[in-house]
Amino acid sequence: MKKICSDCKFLAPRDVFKGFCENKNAMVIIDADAFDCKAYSAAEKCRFCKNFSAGQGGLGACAAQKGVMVYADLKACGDYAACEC
Amino acid sequence: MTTLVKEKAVGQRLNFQYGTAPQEVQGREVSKKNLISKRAAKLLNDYYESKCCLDNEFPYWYTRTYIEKEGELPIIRRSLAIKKAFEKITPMIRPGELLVMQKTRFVRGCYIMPWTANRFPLSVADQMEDEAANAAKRSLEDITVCATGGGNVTESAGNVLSISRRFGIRAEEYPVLVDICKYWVNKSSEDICWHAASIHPQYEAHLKMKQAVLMHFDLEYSVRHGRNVVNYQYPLQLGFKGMIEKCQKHINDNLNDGSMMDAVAFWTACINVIQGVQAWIRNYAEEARKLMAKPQYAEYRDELALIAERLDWIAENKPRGFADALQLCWLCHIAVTNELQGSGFAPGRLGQVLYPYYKKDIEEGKITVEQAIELLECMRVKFTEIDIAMSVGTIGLLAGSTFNNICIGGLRPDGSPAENELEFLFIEAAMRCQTPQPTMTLLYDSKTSEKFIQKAIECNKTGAGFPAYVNNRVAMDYLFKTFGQEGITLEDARAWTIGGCLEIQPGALVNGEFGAGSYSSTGVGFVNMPKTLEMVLWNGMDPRTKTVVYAPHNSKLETFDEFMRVWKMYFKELIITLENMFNYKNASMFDTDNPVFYSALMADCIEKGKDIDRAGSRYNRCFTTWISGQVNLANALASIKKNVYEDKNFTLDELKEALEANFGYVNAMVTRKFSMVEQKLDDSKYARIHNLCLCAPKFGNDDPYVDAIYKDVIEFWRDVTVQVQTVFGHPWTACQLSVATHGPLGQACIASADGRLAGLTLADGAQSPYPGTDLNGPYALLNSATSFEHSDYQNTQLNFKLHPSSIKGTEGARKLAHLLKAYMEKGGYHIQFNVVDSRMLRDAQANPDNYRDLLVRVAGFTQYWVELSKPIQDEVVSRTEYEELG
Repeated sequence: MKKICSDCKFLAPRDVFKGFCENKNAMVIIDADAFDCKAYSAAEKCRFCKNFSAGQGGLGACAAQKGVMVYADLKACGDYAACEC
Repeated sequence: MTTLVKEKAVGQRLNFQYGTAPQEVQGREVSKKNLISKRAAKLLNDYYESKCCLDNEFPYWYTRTYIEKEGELPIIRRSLAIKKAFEKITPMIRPGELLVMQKTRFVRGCYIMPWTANRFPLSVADQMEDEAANAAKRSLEDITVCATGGGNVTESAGNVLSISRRFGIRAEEYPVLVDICKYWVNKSSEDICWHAASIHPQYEAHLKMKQAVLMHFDLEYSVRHGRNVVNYQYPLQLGFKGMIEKCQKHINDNLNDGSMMDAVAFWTACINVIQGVQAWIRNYAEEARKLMAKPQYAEYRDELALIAERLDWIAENKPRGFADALQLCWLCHIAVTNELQGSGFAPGRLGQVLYPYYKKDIEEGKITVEQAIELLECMRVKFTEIDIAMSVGTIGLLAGSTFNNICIGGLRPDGSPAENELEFLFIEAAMRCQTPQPTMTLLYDSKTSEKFIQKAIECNKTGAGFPAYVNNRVAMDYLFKTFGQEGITLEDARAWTIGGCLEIQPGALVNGEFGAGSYSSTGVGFVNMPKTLEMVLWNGMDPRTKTVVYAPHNSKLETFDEFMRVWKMYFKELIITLENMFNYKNASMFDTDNPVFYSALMADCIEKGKDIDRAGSRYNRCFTTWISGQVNLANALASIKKNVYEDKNFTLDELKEALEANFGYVNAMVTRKFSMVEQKLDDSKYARIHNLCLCAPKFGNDDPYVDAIYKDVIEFWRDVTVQVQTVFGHPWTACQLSVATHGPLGQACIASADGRLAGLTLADGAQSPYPGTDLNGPYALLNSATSFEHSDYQNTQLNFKLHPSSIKGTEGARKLAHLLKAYMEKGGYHIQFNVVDSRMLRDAQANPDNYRDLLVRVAGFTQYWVELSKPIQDEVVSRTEYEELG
């Protein structure tokens, strides 16, 4: 699985290009490859939750919440269960 | 210098300078940028380095909840959707912030409100489902030239897509936005208002008028709210807890009265949205506590603790001091912009609203003057970060400004001068922290102190473009004329303030304190005045698009009187049609995106149990028709009168041929130069006619010949405008300002009989002369600008471009004050000053990277130079520069 800064829980975005990395204490490019970053930790987003299933368009569904509409980059809810992806 | 200027051999010629500029390029005389606090400087730098971007959180949660709450009463359903979205959006606090809370997690973030406008983010194919409506829109979309610098994301790159040539969105989030927008097809205000309009017999005529760009296209729904003032007094006096208790008491008292069912629903909705805002505040408090625990935020730990404590307090209670009160006002302001896709939500008399808190804290030693200035600097950065997601056409209109206008000075309700020590600090903070928002306007009265005026002029000398100056007495005359039927009191009139750029809005005292309670200045904007003349000349057809807009008049136009009769006939049809259609459209949206939180704040809405779309505000005669390019129209009419009918220099047919040929010049859409400076001549066949057109009388020179035509045009418009009743049963009102419409509307016009070439930006403002045509000095311009009664209009607008040397030193400041007072004494309403050397602006066009923080005044707003489009930049450069004020 590709690791990029935008999926890391230590990233505080400033805009759609860059954000503040709380580990590096510096601005980073959101799309930067974080494969070698030892501090990388996946944020709790629907895309990393095993209850999430992608739809045909942008919206997907949440199995834990009766199929309610969600999307991959949505901040996960209390039913979050990390997938093996 | 330019091809055009060289050609002028006789009579009047273009001259872009009055007087002689110093040899060396001069910067602004006053600069206090080095005094900005380190904190504000850092936050401002964050802003400079951030791009405009879209976030999906709010629209997602709103839409999801809206779907889940199907079956609820419309206002309850909407309030629950708003509540949930506030509860869920991610809080973001940046290191060093004292004033917190923002629209989205991004610095310059905003979001589409698809329940209001859902079409423009979609692909062209998706947009075109409603072909007729979209054809009218695309006509302007296609010709609007957008800004390319600063925070604009003009092109898609990598994993970021560009929307409206301004906003970036993550590529992976765009399909989500599309799905959300598609849900709102046939449910959004945009779609509903067009459907509602389609049953009106004037619908087809109205579409053709839009296709020809006789007016801007989507103001009916896209930013229908705004240009009025946020009332902070209820949260300040009661706290959110008190507001909820007040609503609950109304519910309890009226629950068994069947006639009050709508009111009970409104109060319930108010409670819902206030609870959502409370949750949002608490989420920020929680975020501050989380950051405190992180080692990298160690140096901010004490500040974060204070922030968390403050937010927890004001989520429930009324503020205890100045910092609490400022934070509360700010969060209310930003909450309004989160609820509504509007522009021009003004903080109004904020310095007077906050003064009691400041005074108490100073007296008790809880705050120092420098600490207060630092807070105000932080406030300036926050206001500058606000953005609105909108279509290309609306971007062309607003030029990235959000028009958060703070009014200073004026009178207190008891008639004494209102300026206070805090307002001096507002000005000081604006000089140190040079940002376009919030803009400031000084309400000038003969009682205003000289010291205060001089402080304002010191700020003008920095080149900020503000404060602008408006005439308190003219405004009060307007208020009594306009709101007399609604029983405006003397005290509310004295508490007036500006909504948006310049629009006069009545005050609304709340327990004797400065407050606000009026409907949005909304309506028909902006009528393209020079375009109306094209319709007459081409017998009802738009010569640019070849659209037949009107039934042919078939008049031979043999006399000027006949010419004016036909123009008035067409113009009246235009205004009446647009106002009628707006009424239909506007009323159709009252259950879709009506203001709930905004209404809860607004004076009298809770007492009446009505939102502002149901006339819950204290004052409601605010439907407005704006016009743009009226100076070009008057100049063109003067040229036709003189050249065709009096001197018989050429015939109308010869003129039409010359206009269609753009007087032999290359079209501006090809040259990409949008002022009369540096245009390229291709064919000299029309040089004689063009010269005669340029030499005809021009507004701004104290020439009764053309000033009388200007007066006739705008008074006719004023009289037609009031013939239609608004949905609230009041006459419409007339308003004169341009915002940035003079760019795109000019691009929709062919050449005009005043000598202006095709596609060039129109004259800005309302009384500003066309660049290069005011040759008789500043006082001649003031005479032209006061050749009619200003208090008949919701506002007027006059922009002056001054070379810094013209107001240098104490003597220069004295001259400027004299000019300002002379204008006010003549009955002028508004005047503002761009203090800049035009050569610096040209250099900034060539080297934008060297001028990231350069501010210029455009129309009723200030903007960073690099955030302006080329047509507007060109127009500002070409404005006549006054080198002296004698």
